[in-house]
Amino acid sequence: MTLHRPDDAADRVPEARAANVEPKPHAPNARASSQLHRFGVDDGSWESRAARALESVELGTLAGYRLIRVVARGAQGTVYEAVEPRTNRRVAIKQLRESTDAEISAREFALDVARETARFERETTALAGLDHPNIVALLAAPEDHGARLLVMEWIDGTTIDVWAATTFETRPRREAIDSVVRVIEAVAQGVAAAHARGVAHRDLKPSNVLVDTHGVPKILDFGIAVDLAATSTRFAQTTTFAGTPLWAAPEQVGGPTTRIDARVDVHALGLLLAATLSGREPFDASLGLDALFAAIAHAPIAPPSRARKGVPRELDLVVAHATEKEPERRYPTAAAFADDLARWRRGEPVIAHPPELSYTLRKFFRRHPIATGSVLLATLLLSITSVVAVRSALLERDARRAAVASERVARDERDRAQRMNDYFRGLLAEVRENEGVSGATTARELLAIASGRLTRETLSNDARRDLHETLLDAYAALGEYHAAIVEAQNALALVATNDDRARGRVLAALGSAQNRVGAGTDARIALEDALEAFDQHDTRHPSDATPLAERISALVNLADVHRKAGRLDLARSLIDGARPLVTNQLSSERLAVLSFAAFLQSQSGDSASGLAEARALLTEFEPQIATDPLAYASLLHNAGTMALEVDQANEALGYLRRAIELRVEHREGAAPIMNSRVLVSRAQAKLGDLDGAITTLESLGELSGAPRRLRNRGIAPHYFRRNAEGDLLRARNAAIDGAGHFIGPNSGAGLLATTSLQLLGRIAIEQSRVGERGQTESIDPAVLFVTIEEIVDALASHGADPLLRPYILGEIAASARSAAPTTHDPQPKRSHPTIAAAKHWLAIEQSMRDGIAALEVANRGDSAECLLLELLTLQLQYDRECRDGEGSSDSGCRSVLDAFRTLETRAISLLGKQSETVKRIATALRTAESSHKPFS
Amino acid sequence: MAVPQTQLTLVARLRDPHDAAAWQRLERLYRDLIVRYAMREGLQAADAEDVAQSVFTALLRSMSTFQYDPTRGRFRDYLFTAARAHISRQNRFRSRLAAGQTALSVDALPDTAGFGAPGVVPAAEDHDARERFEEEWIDHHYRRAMDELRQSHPAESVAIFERLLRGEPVESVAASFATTPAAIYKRRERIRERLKEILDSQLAEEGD
Repeated sequence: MTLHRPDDAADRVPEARAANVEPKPHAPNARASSQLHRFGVDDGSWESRAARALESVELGTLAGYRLIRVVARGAQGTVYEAVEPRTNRRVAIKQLRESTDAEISAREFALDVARETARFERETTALAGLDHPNIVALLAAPEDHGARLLVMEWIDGTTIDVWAATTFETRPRREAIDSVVRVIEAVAQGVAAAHARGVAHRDLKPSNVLVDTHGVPKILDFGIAVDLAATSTRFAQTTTFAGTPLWAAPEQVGGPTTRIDARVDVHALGLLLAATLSGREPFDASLGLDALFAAIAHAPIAPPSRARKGVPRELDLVVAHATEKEPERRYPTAAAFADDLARWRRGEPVIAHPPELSYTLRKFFRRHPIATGSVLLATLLLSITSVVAVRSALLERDARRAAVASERVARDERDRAQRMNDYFRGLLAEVRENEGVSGATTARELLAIASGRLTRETLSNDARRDLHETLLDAYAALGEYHAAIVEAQNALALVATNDDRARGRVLAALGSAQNRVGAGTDARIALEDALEAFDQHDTRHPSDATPLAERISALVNLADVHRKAGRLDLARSLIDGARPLVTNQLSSERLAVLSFAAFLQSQSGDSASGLAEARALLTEFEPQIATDPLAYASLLHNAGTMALEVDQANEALGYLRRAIELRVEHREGAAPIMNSRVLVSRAQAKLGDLDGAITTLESLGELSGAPRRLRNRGIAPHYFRRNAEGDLLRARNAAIDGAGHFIGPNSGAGLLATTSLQLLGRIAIEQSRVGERGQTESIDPAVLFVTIEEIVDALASHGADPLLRPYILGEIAASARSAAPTTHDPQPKRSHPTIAAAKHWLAIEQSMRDGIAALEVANRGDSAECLLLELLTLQLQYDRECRDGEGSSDSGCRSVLDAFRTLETRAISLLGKQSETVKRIATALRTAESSHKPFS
Repeated sequence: MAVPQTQLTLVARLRDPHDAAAWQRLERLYRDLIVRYAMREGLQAADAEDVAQSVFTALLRSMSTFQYDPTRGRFRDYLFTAARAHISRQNRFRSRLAAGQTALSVDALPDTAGFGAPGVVPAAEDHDARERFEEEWIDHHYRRAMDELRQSHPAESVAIFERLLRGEPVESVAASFATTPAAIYKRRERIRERLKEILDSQLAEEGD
């Protein structure tokens, strides 16, 4: 989603802007009068303004929260802006209205107190389970003197319709459409998250969706949310109308269907999209309730393009599909709706579109005007598939209508599946053949087409599973691991109960993809299950044993999961167990095992001997390159990693370049190539070739297959350009923006994300220097901390893995600590009040503690990363407690040193003495001990 | 009239660092605005006082070093920027320090965020914050104007007006002052005129 930076915000507010450029000084009185109108002295508002001004600032407290003002009073109750005193966090408090009996009878559609209370409880339950960046967070649900309260996060923002109107006013139309679609997509993701927990909102409308100042939408008011399983009744009949009729779905107002389920929200999402794009409400509310209900039940929603020129036809179709009168014909889920919007943004055909061949081709040609060869071929393939698709559609209809023998249908279906499968594989092969690695974009787009088509096909379970597996392989090759996981899970659900072979294969692929995205525990379970399935299969079908390559791949992946979690001994024993399996001297399997063993050695802290082993393997397997060039490339890559670790940047560069050559030549997926390129840039940077490193990073954008639009605003070029101009604020924003684009839940370009994080770290540090420019070159931790927080917030709002946070903090704090004057700096700079600095470091320390806790919760408390974070925390503690730098009896300082020693012991037992982490801890401990000698 | 129309704007007077009276007046007039705005942004009273302190310290320093040129922007924009900067820092640190950490004095906050180095703090021209500030600014001037009104206007009129402000119907106010609604409306209109005058001169003094 687009981040609207604060400086953009002013653009969206023409008035504020106009005020800022107000003409320069003239007679004070003339200027004063120009402002007087704001006081309402010449209209009717002056008295209420005066009254408000005289009201006390403080309204008192509720359940310990300090109330600041009343935000809204409504039928449901009162909403306050308030502050949580302990944290000073701003919150919104919703207080249930205490209705009097008279009022209840007076209101025609009154809700009685019991019902109101039930509704309140539903809201509490629904919200409490939801933790999503696009859903307003419920912080607490306390009571105050019997009054029930909902305490929610405070959102600074405007309702989505107002936001959309402003966006269209202040942005070029195309850009505005893009932003709106992005925001609606995020709303849909929030709704999907709620659905995943069995909660439907049922009252989505513009006033329930706020867009904050960063352009992040937040869904409010789960007040009438109900458990999906619990209800199938109509609103209008069972309760006083709970939804707002204008935004209700047909089935909520007595349309053809009475089943109310999550697709009510899909309908509302469609309406939201229509309303934000067109700037109009879906129906004319002035018609009166009956006419309105009739319109909701029968009248199609006007295509947004009719109200606003330039809205693409695809979006009309998405609206139409989402707002179908019959729920069955809508997108099945909010997630599917979100996916289709994502598809549109990527320039891919939307599912909502009727499957016309000409449309698909037009899309294809528009995106590939040059690559004629592959277009021709793809055209051919597409037309074949379309024919197949059309025929199968006809077959289905026949089958249904005339009850054609099911056997024949099954046979045709198999054939069709086979053909489609061949088609996908062929298409991928051709794309790679013709466009080389940079064809990744094309392949990704084609895959999305393929997935879309798959959802429309009626196929047998086996055929469908097979296709999901094909997609899984393809996504994994592209580094789209999140998409691969989805495909794997789809495939897994379709595996026949007795098909251990398929289960093992899919589980292995699933685990491998999960490992890539850092879902260690899930990956471990999947891989262990995969190995078990292989064993079961081999016991039952000894003649048709699982191929060794598959088994080895699962084993190595599992070992890698353990390695990442810091369980090096387990990893080692797995690999040792695999050695006897790989008897064939020059086989790819043996290469894989030995190459990983060498890597493991380097991870245990002995990079030098790991590298030596890798060198030996490189020589041994050189004659076999042709047999399995990609396995050899992988070995080269690992060797490069290890060489980098022992500062042999030149040697590393050689290995990595050779690895890239092989990978490109033999059409490896984009992800491994990007991986190698990142390392190349590190090697270049180590060798002082910063320009080269930048160029390499820039080429990543090309490789990632990110759409050109994103690529052009790619992080690296933008960052470096702005940085060179000294415009660090912009550079930082560009990097946050860039990272956001690549960290989204559907992005596979994790490496780009990592890279931008590193850039962000540098920016944080450099930006902090700029604040001090002209005074000193040292870092103001205050600024640094603010920047870190901004980065972390930005990443969180982009759905980044929350566990990234400790890593980011660790990385940035480590560089900052080495560059910044610490609190015990004997001569603090004039602009660095010591206490202030201490305060900021305390805050960073606290964040890192949070990070450690998060890692522990994720079962990664024993990983090297976690130990490093603990080290860093201790160092900060040391800076704080032992600031004198002289001998003292300070017990705080002494306990820090003790904690250091405990950490060292623990690290040695977990990682072994040779580990780089252990060495680092030891060095830090010795330094601390030598500069601070407690009495003993 | 409290403020002669011919008077130099208060901010212009501030350019002379030796004009202590101007300084005192500025602080007396605007401290309350900053404190209330800071509380509106969620700060506790003590913290809000500290923010006001930092804002004025920063202003004093930047004026004395000629970093702040009153002709280049409105005074309240400067106040807003400075207040915002100090509040946002205050908030971040408060929330981080919440979990049982020793709270340290706010006075120790670095002062770089004031007039001298706006680049340090994200140019947080956050629309909503500005709107809140503008509301507080209007309230602030109304409060000052009401204070002035109470001192310079017939007490009975003011009392009538205050009862109207509390939402009492004109008829009932008229009854308790033994007069006619029309007379009440007349007094009310006079108060509006007077408030307008006072607000006008307040704004003039602010240089706006």
